[in-house]
Amino acid sequence: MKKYKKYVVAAALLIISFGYIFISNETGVARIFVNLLTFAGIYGLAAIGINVHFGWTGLLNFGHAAFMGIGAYTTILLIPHALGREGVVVENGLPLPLAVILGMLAAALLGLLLGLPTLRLRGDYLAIVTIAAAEIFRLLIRDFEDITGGVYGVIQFSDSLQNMRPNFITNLATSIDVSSSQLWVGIITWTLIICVLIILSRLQKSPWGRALRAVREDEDAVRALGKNAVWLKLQSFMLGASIGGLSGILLAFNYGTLQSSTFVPVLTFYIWAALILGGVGSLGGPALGAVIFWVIISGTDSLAEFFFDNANGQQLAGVRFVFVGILIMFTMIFTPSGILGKKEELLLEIK
Amino acid sequence: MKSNRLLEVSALQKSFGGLQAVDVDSLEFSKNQITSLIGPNGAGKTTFFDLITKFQNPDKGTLIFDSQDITALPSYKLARLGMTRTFQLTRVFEKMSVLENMQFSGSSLKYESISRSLIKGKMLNNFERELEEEVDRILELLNLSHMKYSYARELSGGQKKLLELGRALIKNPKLLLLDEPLAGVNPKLAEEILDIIQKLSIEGINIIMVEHNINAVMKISERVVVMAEGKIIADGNPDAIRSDEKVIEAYLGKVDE
Amino acid sequence: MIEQLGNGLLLGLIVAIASVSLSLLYGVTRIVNFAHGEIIALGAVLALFFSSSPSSNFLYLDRYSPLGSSFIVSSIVSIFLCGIFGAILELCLFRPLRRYNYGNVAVLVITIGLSIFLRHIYLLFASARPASYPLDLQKRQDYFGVQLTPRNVQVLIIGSLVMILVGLFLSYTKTGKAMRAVRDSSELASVSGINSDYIITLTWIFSSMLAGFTGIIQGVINNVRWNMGFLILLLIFAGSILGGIGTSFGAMFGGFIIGMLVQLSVGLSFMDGHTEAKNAIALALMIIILLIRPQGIFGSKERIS
Repeated sequence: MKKYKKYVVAAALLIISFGYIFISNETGVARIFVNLLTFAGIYGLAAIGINVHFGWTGLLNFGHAAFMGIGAYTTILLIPHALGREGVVVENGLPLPLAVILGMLAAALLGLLLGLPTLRLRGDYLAIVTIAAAEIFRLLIRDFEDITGGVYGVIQFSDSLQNMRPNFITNLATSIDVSSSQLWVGIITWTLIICVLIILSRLQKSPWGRALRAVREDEDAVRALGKNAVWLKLQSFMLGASIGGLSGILLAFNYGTLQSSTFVPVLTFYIWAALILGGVGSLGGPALGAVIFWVIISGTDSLAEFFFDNANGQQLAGVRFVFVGILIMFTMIFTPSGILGKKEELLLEIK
Repeated sequence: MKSNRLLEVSALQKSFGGLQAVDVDSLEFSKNQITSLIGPNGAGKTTFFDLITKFQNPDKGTLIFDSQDITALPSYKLARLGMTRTFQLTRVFEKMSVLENMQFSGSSLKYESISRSLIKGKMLNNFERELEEEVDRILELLNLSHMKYSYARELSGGQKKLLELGRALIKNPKLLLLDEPLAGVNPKLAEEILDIIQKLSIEGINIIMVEHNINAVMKISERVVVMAEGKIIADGNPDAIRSDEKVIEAYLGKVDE
Repeated sequence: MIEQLGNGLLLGLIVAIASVSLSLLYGVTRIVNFAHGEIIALGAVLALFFSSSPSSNFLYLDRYSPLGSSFIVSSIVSIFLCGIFGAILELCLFRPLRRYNYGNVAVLVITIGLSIFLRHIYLLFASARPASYPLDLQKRQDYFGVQLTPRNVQVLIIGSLVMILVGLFLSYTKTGKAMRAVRDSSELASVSGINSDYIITLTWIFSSMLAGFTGIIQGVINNVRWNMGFLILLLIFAGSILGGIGTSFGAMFGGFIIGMLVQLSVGLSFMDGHTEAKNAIALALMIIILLIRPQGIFGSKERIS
């Protein structure tokens, strides 16, 4: 029964979270729910990517925002779009599925680029380099406005996705008074999460997954047994990166615009908080953590209103992140395995 | 012409900040036998081991294994060529089961890629089945069959040593390097391990072991190499070594007249 | 590019001192403290808090109007408070983590959480806009061909003196030598009668004070921002990797070079209008170094994998 305890806790937390949403909002509950679940789903997918890095392989990636960003920009710039209000309008582009695959590949390539020099070194080097990479990415995106659309960002690309939306979804959306485009993104997100989890579950039990667990635990022993630990780590790194790229694409579609302020380094920390909370190493943990995390964050917004009358965007963000920081610290100190993680499987030494 | 020398060491040197840890002119392992590498503490035995298995890079020298120059190879390639080692402090994968430890060691590289793992074809299934049979055979030899599904961390210290040995065996090595296989092991288990080592030697595996337990060394070794201060000071059969003056001096210090 | 030489010297000095403070801490505690940047920023913010005149609106919460102390006094008070802050961090957070044997990954993640927390506290309580100390504006003058303000020159002199003093402290005083002993081997140190815990606390205090000092001079040279700590942290990492992890001298040297290079790169033609991207150069450099010579210039190979 002890094994099921954590699922009970998870379910209870979900019920409390959703209950809280219901109670604190009299109108537009459905809208809030769809918004929450969509964002949470996207962050959850990103967290699944980091889980492959940290939970499965013990790699410290603190620059996931860069993978998400590169996936998003590659894909969006390949489909029909417009650069800012007055910029170039690109009318022809690749079909969406192809663009998505290319976006994910771009993310994997970035993973290769960052991983090659660092994966043969100690773990903290990867942490430093990924943070640096995310910061470089932010600076480049911000500075090269002609590609990224300046202040307004890249716009008018949603059609590629929304044109695929079936009628019954549109009808469903109208009937419960939610945005049909967001509902569509949300459904696709959670469908993708399920698909990715199925694939990952197979991988986990496969020889590859087994090799990864060995690498995570003792690289030297792995080498002594004839396996190339660095190559295995690199594969895992690229896999997690491409999942991150996918989540970045979804995030862009969720916003409808692609702005330079979207894929900033702090995004990575949001996702880490979700992962740690949900449970490192578990399959369902990242998604669960993301949902609960989002509810907590919305809660802090009300707290911000309490402290600062008429809180402006800055203060809201500030309070949010103060809580993100506290959340990360407290979870790591008191429940490092999160809600669904397995304590015995948690490896907390840098290799 | 393929040499029948399994491992050749030439002019091998390694120093740490001015201290010469290893300085071996030439050493060869050709016949199928059990060789023990002994010497007082700090003689450089472990460093020598690390150098042969490429866990450390030599400053100078050449290593040739089975007619191939391995001096520049990374350590992980050696196991594929037929050289496996164990460690002084056991390094089993505690968070994996005994079976998984063995499977990981024995599984073929070509199945450990993402694509192959996703498309679970018949070949993979056959391979995994044969692998498990091999695992069973080795676990039987090591008396570990009853722990097959347990997590490695549940094993006793001695059993972990056996597991590590098993992991090395499933790779079908030509040369097995054992780093203090009897360290911290109770006498009964030590007997078992020595037994197994002898069985393996009969089956054709060449064995080099670093060991401090002199009784065990004298009992099963066919050849003993003695190191002191980084150099080889004696090399011969156990009886010759037992009475070698230089060896006695190295261990006990110079005896005054 | 030569106009940037003065700025380059300044930035180089700042990153050098900051790198030494982090390298000291890392050497003794073996933690990569991602919150170190926030301690640097703390120095700057506290000095700002104490020295701003009561009528200034540099702080978000106008209720807490600061004392209008002299800048020098404010700085000194700020440095001491940073030292105390470091001690509090060690006693209340890092020592318990050590006692309970938290793995270094857990500690690293905790320091990241801490840095996010602190950084945004600064955002809430100090201005989101860059702020400056209440010091009069000065004109740049020519010093041996380098363009600097008199205050910048003072900073250079004081900074260099501090570096020399730190070096002397580490090499010749009993405490300094004890710190180096603990850094090289904490077991050996305790066997020789050195109380590791005590030395670690001292190192935290010393390193935090040095960090606070760095923040203040960075604030003097440029300005005070809520995220200045994070920006400088990346440069410190780059400098430490370049110079070589594990030696204070390497950190200082690497830090100085990185600071210089970063600032000089502003003068390159393709950087026009992209001055912020100068940091990107440092970071790209870091990645390249990791590719070719991961132990840095002065580091030793054993410490990296």
